[in-house]
Amino acid sequence: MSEPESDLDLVKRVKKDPSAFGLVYERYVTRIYNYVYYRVGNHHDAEDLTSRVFHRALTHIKDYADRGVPFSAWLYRIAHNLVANWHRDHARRQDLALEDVTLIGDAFEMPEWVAESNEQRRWLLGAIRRLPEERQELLILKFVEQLSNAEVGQIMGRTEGAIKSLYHRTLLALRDELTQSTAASSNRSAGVIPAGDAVER
Amino acid sequence: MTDVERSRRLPIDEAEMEAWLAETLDLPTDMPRLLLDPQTEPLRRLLQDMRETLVPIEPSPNFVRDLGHSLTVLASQRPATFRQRYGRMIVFGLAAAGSVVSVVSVGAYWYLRREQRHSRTL
Repeated sequence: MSEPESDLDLVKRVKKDPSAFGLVYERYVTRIYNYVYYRVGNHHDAEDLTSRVFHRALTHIKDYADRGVPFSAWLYRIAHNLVANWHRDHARRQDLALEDVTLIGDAFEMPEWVAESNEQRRWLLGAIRRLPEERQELLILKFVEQLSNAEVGQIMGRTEGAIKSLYHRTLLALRDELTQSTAASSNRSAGVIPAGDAVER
Repeated sequence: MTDVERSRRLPIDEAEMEAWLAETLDLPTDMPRLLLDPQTEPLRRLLQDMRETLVPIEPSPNFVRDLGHSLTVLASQRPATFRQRYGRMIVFGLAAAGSVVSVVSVGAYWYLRREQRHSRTL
């Protein structure tokens, strides 16, 4: 079986024959869609932005030159910039807008377990969306896109070490929030009202 | 995709996690099965929850097909020629330059005539 064409060869081909862009699109549409979806939190805007990413990529692909930045990183940068503009336009951030992502259970799972599990996921998604943008981006690239630290670094314009450090700090911050939330909910179920908890967040 | 398959695909492997935990918690790196340590349980649980929550999703097939079609149409359009892209700009530019040259020529003619008349009268 022949090796799949490398991104660089594919881009060279597209520069000569733009109709080959369909191959780039097929290779990346799901990944870019996932990235955008988890950043904006709804399918409608994710489709709109994904469409804009590929239209922009098609228009500017002739300007892409391999200067140590892989083509995939270039594509993600386009997506990143468009998402950043989208957030600027929608300055009021959506609370828990990830409408229906992953809040599902297998048909064979117990309904009460599914409800509890969904509640946990909803909380986690909320906590992730409260993180600074670069940390959200990092988690999406690591978990959804399943990229290595080096690849994430190329996309985010940082060194591998910086990504590793940011990743660790992000996990610790989330863990602390998880621990506090667990403690607060066990206090509530035990009837203890912690000081300063009178105002609902 | 099952959780097991997903975990296998993730580059965040447990060995890397163990090494990091050892470093963070200042524990010897050769400690076996650090992830089973109760001290690291919240982190292990968090990672597991994240793996189950941040899962790849599939875009709608209609969306993928329609966008693919529109890109194919766009890519198959021939790029605009130099004349199409800059033709109008060149025509307007030449017209503007011609107007300027005309005005300057009339002014120069008038000035030279006046100078000639002036020298004759002297």
